[in-house]
Amino acid sequence: MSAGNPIRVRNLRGGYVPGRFAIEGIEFEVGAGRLVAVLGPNGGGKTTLFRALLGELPHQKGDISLGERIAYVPQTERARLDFPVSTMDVALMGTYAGAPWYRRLGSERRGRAASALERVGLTQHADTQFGELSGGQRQRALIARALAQDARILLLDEPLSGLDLPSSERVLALLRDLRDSGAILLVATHDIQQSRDFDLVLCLHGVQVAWGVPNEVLSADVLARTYGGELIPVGDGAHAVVIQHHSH
Amino acid sequence: MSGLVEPFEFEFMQRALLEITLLAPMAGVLGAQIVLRRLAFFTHSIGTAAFPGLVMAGPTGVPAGLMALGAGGLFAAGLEGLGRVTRVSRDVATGLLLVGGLALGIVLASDVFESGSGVDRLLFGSLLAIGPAELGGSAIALAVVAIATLACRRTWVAAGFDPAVTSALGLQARGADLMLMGAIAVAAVAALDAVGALLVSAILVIPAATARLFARSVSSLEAMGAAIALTEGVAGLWISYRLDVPPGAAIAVLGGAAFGACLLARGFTHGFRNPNLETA
Amino acid sequence: MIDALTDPFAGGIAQRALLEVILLGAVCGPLGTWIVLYRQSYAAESIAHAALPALVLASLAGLPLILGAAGGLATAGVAIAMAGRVRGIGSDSATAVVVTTMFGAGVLLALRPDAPARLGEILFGDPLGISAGDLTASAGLALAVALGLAVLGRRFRLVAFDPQAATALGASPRRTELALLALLALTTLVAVQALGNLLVVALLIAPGAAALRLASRLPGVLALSVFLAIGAGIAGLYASHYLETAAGASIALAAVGVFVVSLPLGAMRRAS
Repeated sequence: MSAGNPIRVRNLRGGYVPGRFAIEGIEFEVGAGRLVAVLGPNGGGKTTLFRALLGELPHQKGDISLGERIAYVPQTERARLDFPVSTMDVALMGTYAGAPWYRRLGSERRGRAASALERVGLTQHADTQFGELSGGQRQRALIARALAQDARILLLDEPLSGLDLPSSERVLALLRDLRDSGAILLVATHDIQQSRDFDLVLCLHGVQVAWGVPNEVLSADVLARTYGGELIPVGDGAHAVVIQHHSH
Repeated sequence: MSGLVEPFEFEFMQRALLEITLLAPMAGVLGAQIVLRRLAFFTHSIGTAAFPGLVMAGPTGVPAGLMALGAGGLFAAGLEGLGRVTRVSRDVATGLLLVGGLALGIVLASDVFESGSGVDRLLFGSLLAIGPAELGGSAIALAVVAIATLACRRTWVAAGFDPAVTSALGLQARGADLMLMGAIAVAAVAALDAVGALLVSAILVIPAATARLFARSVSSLEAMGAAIALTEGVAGLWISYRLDVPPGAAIAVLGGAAFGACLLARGFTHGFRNPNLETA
Repeated sequence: MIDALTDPFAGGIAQRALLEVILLGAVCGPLGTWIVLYRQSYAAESIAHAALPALVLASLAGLPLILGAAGGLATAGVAIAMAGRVRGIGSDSATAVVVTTMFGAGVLLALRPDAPARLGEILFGDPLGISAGDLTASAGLALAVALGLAVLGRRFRLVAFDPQAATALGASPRRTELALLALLALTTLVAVQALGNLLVVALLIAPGAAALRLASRLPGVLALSVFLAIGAGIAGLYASHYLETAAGASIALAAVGVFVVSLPLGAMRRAS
């Protein structure tokens, strides 16, 4: 355990091709028990930032200090729906690291997976095929996989995309629950409204545009720089529409 | 009843039976991965790529299995190298290596074999002419595959399910994938003796694909695949003895028929259309 | 020196083989380029392999191979298309099942002890066994494919490079791919006589893949692919004459060789 905040990032920059930075100027610190929105347009670098935090980016420079174990929850569409695995199998995958290959998975690992399933509310679906779960349930199963890793930092890539309102609410409630128990959740999203409900927001469009408490940081100017276009307030000013300027 | 058992009183048939028994577990375990991770084309090509090695085995005196493994290894290395160094798409590289291996084998064989019969055996198998050396080779192959599977199976499943997360889970995806390719190459070379360079899929892909129609877990996919491979192998062997046809072809046609029958059976029990089940 | 160049083509058999190879190169080159661009190499391979039973049946019945190939390719195409629809399996495994089964069926038919089917030639081609009638049929088919390529060329280019614009303009990517596969079937018909159904894919994708590495603009790529394909065919015929190797396999090996040479050349081009 390091003294200070569990996540400390200084002057992070990096990318997939040497010499060209997909993200740069990333600098932030997060304490325990925080729900952080990583806000930006598609292609703006959210996934790249996650890979950098996981240490998987081909080229990166700067300092990243992580005081806790970190886990990644990608978008549900990535996981194969026709794969013959049960919900419990998926949670168990989180315990695979370091498991001796000559033995079956022990009770300690199975216990971790079972608790993870309980945490996300999927215990009664433990034996259901992953592909037969609903969208929201699948998202929670993938979160269970991350929890089974004993991770306290979770990176979630657009966890609510494609979910209907009730499922969305359920997943959000789970995320708040995890936050309350001390975990740090970084949630990539392009939903500006949603990010206003989070504790902290990092606006990203290649470069870090802003970092801080949403109400203080999400000004029209910041949003314009994040989305690279014009933000046009609609109706009572609480909602806005982004006009993207296409370059040819 | 005696008509069923009678062929197996011959020693060569018993050896063939033993060969099938050695191949079946590999067909189950690796077949599951081949079907789950879309490796059918690779498997077929590795079998074909081993063909020039087999052709050269006779004249150079090197054991056929070793030559085949060498050729298969060169193929796999070439594929990896091409994928890494150039931007050639994988299916173009696989297809060209495959056909290049075949053509090379034929050109070499023009000098080595006067008649076409030797080439036939290489291409379609000589299960009925299995000797102790081939059996030994298959036993070694089984041991190698078993060790690779034990070591890497979890990573294979995790990576097959969700490649994006595998290293984040703390697993060595790259190493495990190389082990999988290697294991498939070893199993393909073992199957060459039985069914020939062109019909390796009859053992390594078709039974697993059939099992996949019903399996609800990876373990049951492996077990069912092995059982189907064993049954089809024995039945194909029997047919080939009775009708005097190449055993590899008999196993292939049996396998296809069984697949078709299972497809129909599944259609009747699970419905022909299932809009809820999305295929990735 | 001149003698060395013309000797192999002194007789009628060899001259027909040469003409066939030129016809083949002219259509396989450009078509193969589209096959590579549309990522249909696996489909090309599978359709050719799965045509075996029909080829064997035609040979057993004494019918011209081209008829067998036509029936075989049609059946194979339909079977593979249906296989792709099987849910939960993945189209590559389903295709492997169809191709292996049909291939096995072809072998069963051909290697029965009382069957005199010329399996070797069916599998690996027989450019030196081409009759005048075969040549005429090939010319007709090649013309049809060339016409098809000319008419559909712009459509192929649109869907390959800008699928969204294509759909907006009313060109369905799915139907375009089907059209491509239909032309592929016709071309395979032409090529199977010379190269056999196992090796046909070499002349189909190697020259196209090589041309794509060596030229950047599409008209140049297509022209280069014709040149490379015909070149490979002629080189193969020379090799088979002077080295006494199987003709079809020599052509296939020459085509793959062209591709191998294009690898470093293409890399150097990109670096400069």
